[in-house]
Amino acid sequence: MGAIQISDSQLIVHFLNGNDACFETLLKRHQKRVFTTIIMIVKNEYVAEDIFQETFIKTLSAIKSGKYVDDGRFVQFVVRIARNMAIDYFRRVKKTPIINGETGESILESLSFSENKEEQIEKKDTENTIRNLVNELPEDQKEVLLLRHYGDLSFKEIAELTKVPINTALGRMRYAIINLRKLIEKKSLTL
Amino acid sequence: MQKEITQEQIISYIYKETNEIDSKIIAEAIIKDRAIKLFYLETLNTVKLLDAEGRDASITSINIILDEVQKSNLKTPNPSL
Repeated sequence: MGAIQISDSQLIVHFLNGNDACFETLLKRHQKRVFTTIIMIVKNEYVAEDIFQETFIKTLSAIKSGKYVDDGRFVQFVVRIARNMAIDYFRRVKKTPIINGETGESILESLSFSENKEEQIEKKDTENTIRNLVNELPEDQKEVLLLRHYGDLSFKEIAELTKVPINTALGRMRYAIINLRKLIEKKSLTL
Repeated sequence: MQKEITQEQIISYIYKETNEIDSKIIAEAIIKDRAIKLFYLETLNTVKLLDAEGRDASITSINIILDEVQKSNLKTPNPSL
């Protein structure tokens, strides 16, 4: 018989009653989904780590202050914060000159938080291929794809967040998938 | 007459956002209609490819957040006490 997983809502209640381990469980349960969403948006590991930390600290504060009202959509709440922070980051970057290294790459690109360099190199090819393909999509299509696939927001939630009709959100997702498929074929990648 | 199925509906179906009645109609259309089946399978494959991209945050970031959790408890009284 499989173990029953305690729900996010229950974890939040226990956390508010003083059990810190419950927030740790929430964090570890959702970190991959949230971090993947962020890194696919900002395309930079250093910045993604920073936004990831700020996102969960803001989430912590929202729970503690009672601003987070549980509706059973905890990870979607976190992803919405992450997405808004990523947009803020791009607004800041537009105002800040980019510092490039000798080979022209952004200084931030050369920094890494990875604990294991060898592991990072092994995974790099596959991940970079997918990430690069997604990054070739138009921004509006990429946003819907990231929020739906990695952020687990429904199309209705995405429509509300991006202030477009639901059919537009769905249409963007359709184009994102079709274009991604074309890119895969163009680059002769096999699934 | 069979209801026309849009590609957007197939995408919603893949992401489990269609209601029970629509899900049944779409599932039947996938079996009967070759074009729908092709789009469904291609989309499903593309979506599966996206699953290969899953990145963990660093241990450093996790620890920084957990430190904040501890600090926040020093500031906020435990409601159960």
